[in-house]
Amino acid sequence: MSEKNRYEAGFGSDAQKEPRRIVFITKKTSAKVKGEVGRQVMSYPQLILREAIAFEILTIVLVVIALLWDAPLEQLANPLLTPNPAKAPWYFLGLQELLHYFPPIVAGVLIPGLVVVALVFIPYFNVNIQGEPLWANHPRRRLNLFLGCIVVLLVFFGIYHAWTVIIPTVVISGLALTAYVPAAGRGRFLEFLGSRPLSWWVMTWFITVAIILTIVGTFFRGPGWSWVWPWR
Amino acid sequence: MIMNSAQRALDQLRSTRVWKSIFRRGPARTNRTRSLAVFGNLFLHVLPVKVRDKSLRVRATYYLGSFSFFLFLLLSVTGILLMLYYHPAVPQAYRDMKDLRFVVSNGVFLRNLHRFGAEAMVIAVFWHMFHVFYRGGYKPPHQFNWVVGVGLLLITLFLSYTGYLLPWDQLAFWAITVGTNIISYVPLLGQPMRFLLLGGHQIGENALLRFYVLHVVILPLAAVMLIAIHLWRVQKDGGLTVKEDHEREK
Amino acid sequence: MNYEEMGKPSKGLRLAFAITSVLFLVVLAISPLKDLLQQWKRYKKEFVHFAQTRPDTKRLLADFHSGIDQIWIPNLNVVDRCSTCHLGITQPSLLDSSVPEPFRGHPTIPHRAKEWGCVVCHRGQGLATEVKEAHQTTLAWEQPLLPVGYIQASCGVCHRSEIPDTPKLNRGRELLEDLNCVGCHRLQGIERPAMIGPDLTEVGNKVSREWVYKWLKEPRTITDSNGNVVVNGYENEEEPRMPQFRLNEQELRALSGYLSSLKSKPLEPYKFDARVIAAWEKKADLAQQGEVRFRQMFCVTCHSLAVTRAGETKLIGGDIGPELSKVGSKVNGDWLIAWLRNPGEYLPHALMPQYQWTDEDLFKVTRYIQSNLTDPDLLSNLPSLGPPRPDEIQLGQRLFLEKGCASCHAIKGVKSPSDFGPDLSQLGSKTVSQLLFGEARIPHTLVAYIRAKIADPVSVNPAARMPQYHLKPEDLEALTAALLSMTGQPATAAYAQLVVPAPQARFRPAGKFGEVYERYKCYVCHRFNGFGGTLAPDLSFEGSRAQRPWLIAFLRNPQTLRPALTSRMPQFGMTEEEAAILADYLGMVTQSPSVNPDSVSPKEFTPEMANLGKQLYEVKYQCQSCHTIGATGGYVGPNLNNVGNWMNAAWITAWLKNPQALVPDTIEPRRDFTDEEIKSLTAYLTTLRQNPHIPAPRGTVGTPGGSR
Repeated sequence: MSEKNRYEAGFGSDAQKEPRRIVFITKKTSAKVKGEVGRQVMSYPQLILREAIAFEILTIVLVVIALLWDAPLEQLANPLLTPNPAKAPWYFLGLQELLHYFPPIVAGVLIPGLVVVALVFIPYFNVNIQGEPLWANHPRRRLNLFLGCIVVLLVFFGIYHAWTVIIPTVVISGLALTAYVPAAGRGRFLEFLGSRPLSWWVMTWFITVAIILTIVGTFFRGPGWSWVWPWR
Repeated sequence: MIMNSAQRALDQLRSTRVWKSIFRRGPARTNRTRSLAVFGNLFLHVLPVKVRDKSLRVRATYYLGSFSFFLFLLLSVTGILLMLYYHPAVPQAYRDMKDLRFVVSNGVFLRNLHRFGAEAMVIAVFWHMFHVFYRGGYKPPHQFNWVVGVGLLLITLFLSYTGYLLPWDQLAFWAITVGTNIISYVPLLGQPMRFLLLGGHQIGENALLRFYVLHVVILPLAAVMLIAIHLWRVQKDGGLTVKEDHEREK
Repeated sequence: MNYEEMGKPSKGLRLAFAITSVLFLVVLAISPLKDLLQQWKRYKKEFVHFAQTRPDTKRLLADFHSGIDQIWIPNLNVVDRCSTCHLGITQPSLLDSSVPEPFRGHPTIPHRAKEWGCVVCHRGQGLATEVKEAHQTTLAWEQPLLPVGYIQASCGVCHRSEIPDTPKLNRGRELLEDLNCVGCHRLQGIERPAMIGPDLTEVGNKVSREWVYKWLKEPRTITDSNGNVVVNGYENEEEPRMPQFRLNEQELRALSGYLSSLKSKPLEPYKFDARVIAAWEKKADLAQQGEVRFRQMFCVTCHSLAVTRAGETKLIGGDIGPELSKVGSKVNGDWLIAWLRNPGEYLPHALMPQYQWTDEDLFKVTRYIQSNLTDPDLLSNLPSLGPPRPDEIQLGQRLFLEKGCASCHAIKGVKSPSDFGPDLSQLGSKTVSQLLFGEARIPHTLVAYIRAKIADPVSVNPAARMPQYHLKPEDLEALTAALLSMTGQPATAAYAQLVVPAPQARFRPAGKFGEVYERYKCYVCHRFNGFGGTLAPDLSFEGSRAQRPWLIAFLRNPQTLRPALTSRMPQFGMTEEEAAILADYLGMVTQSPSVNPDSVSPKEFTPEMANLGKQLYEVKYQCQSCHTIGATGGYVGPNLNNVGNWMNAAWITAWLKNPQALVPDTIEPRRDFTDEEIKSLTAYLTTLRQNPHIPAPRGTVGTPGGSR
């Protein structure tokens, strides 16, 4: 690992402590991978057979669903007859729910645009390469930073009364804060939370918000995008 | 007993000249012939010859990627069958939905499969992505494949979205109206983009035709390309990311 | 593990594969099996069994095949698969109600089911081959079958003109027009009625604030707990035109205050000739004399009066003008005189003709109205109102617009709102999801919605501005049917070709005739080429029928030709000149194309022919059973005592040939007269004159009040 050895070492996988693969890069030769691959089996038939089973199970489930329920079909499209509320396909209802709170440019363009950009760039920003738990290093400084971000976010959401966003945000950040206290001997769940890195928290927050917004948009929104209870 | 005789019949079939001329190999009983079965087959050769034992475990992947792919296959098959009964015209498109339901044998079943399959594919693709994220599957050397995956996610959403308009019922029309209105919020480019997508300022016959062409030609072709790259790169990037046992116990 | 073992799948895996493969094949087979058990396939089989129990099996199964049957009308964009299950629909032998549905035949109607299918009339989803989808409201089809009671609405979709087979629809359209529904709503093919609510520009001169208050509170009608409509205490057959608005005390005060303040100038009392007053003022029977004149002028042809006979009070008289039993308690005396002298001055579009009064008649009749046609209790039990305050007037003015009063009543300077209520021209094709039912506990169907909305507007929408109408159940049904027929523009060009438009003709001639015609409002009772009232004979071909001298004499002093009728032509007191103008115009313009005045020459007629005609009249054809000559004969047809002066010989000839060609709905039977017989009859009839025929130079014919 020094000039003398003419080797440089870096991490080729997420396993910091026990690297499976170590990349040795000499200044003259190309990369060579040396590491343990684990036990291998033949793709044919081991993989193929499993995939075939997966395919058949999938088909069976889908066929049963298709036999039990009918795909929705409403009346002929009528541009003059606007349903109230007009809803997008379900996977865009989270977005539509955001549109209810935020100005269209934010909810319709900025947020989905940022999400796509963020997804594309995840692998190029060394996100979570080391898998370091959120509170592992400089807990104080990180706590201040974390709280600062949460407050800014909540104020931003608060301005627009976006409470279907605020609630999951508060819940997830609350869980992240409980992990701040050292986790030893506090049950498996809290230990698990304590070992989660920042990227895990961000993604979990994002998924939770997306799922809640989608569910709210699908089931809890009625005429004029007002709140309704689906069971009433 | 039956198994044995069936096995014998199969063996005999495999030793015929016709069989050999097609598959260029005998029964896959040795690792060599098993390898041949994979890389000697146009469709299977994107797969590695050998895979890590651990990556086959259900909990490693939940087969979400496979499910996404199989859903794509099912949707292609049912979709092509549906194309036989469908006209992208107003209001014939809606009439075709009625005919599928009331006249075509198994028409409802076909449409149900396609519709529910499409919803399932969206769920499967999202789930697949989140799962890969939590597994760290985007980490080097899989960066590029992650990006391809994001592209596939977008294509899947767009495929589902374009398909949503095709029945030309109230549900379709207004869902697409809401969706395309969001596009128009994009500064400067919003209105031109919406115009390009709809072939007009309103959702009408042109929009239906464009959505149809996107749904049955352009997007599926793009999806096939990306899927091929995606699978190919799984192999080239050294297989699936699996967690070692000791790692999971941590 | 052995190197070669890496490739060998475990037993469990192989078993899993075997099981899933079997299941896979099984579930794929379900849908094709399910397909064999569809409802319509079962009905097809049942029909074959059913047909075998009938004597005419062969005919019933002549067109049978095992697939889906459909009637396709490409022009109308209709695909109708109803006959897939309704297999006996065209079979006349399956009409009986003992035949089980869905195999029963369809009763004979003008349109053949084979050509038109079912959904054109019955609605429902013709594309469907499932019972529920075809008949009921579902997510994918919100226009269910039309209840059979309203089926005439479907006739009205194409037949915009009146057809005799649809009495309910016709009644509904008539009501839509009479009630001035188009005052607030847009409705296809319905015109504003000839008379809407009266112009209120000067109403403060006409009635008192108290009367307005009472009227707004109980507009002429009170519906008692049994649903009987009572008009100011008397039962009325006709529906009331003024509906009841839901007004509170403050609104009643404001509106009555505002309306009573409407007078641009105070009314100037008419100055009677002093001699008339001197002669009549003190006579004790002044009112009785007035009543006699009132009757002689046949005011009751248009106006009704409450008459008590044998302890039962009834309205007797016409319904063209308002009922007058209590009018003396309603209107201001000076206004009444001004009105009677010239209705057009107060209401430019009044239906009331302008009579030519003598001072004496006017004095007597107004006195009769003011002293006898009254009700001292009419305005009792009212709060003391006094003169209106400015804030009440202001509020009243606003309410007048907000409540929609301006849709029926004009006030000079107040703009009547356009499209005050919702557009109803497409109500009949609305889907359930377009309707707001509110809290109403009614079935969620279009029919129930329309019924509820008319019967009680607030039941479906508490904020409804629509006033309360009190309709008889059959009228409610008729209105609903008429509204259901309002399906907007035809969906396709082919549909548009099917539409039979309603006649739009308006007969509003110009010139001198036009003036007189307007003054006496001839069109209120008479019909001219499809325009006008139906109370009196159609005058479209009067010029071919009547002789000019007779017409002038009749117009100046109408004598009834049909004694059996209660409503008669009023005595207008027309001048000679006016009568001549009318007669000249009618003679020139209202000629029937099927009557050639030169075809018959009265000079040909000989006494022998007349004698033969008399024989035919009395013996062979027994015309006296309906017509009166002399003092004997029936009252069904017109009296023929003066027919020689009355009718042109050419008309009589044409009439005898084919009465229906001249007046399509006349009850005169068409007989197979020979040409010779017609000639003889005409000859006979032209000899029937009550006073000698006087050749008539213009303006010198007849004597007013002369007897014939």
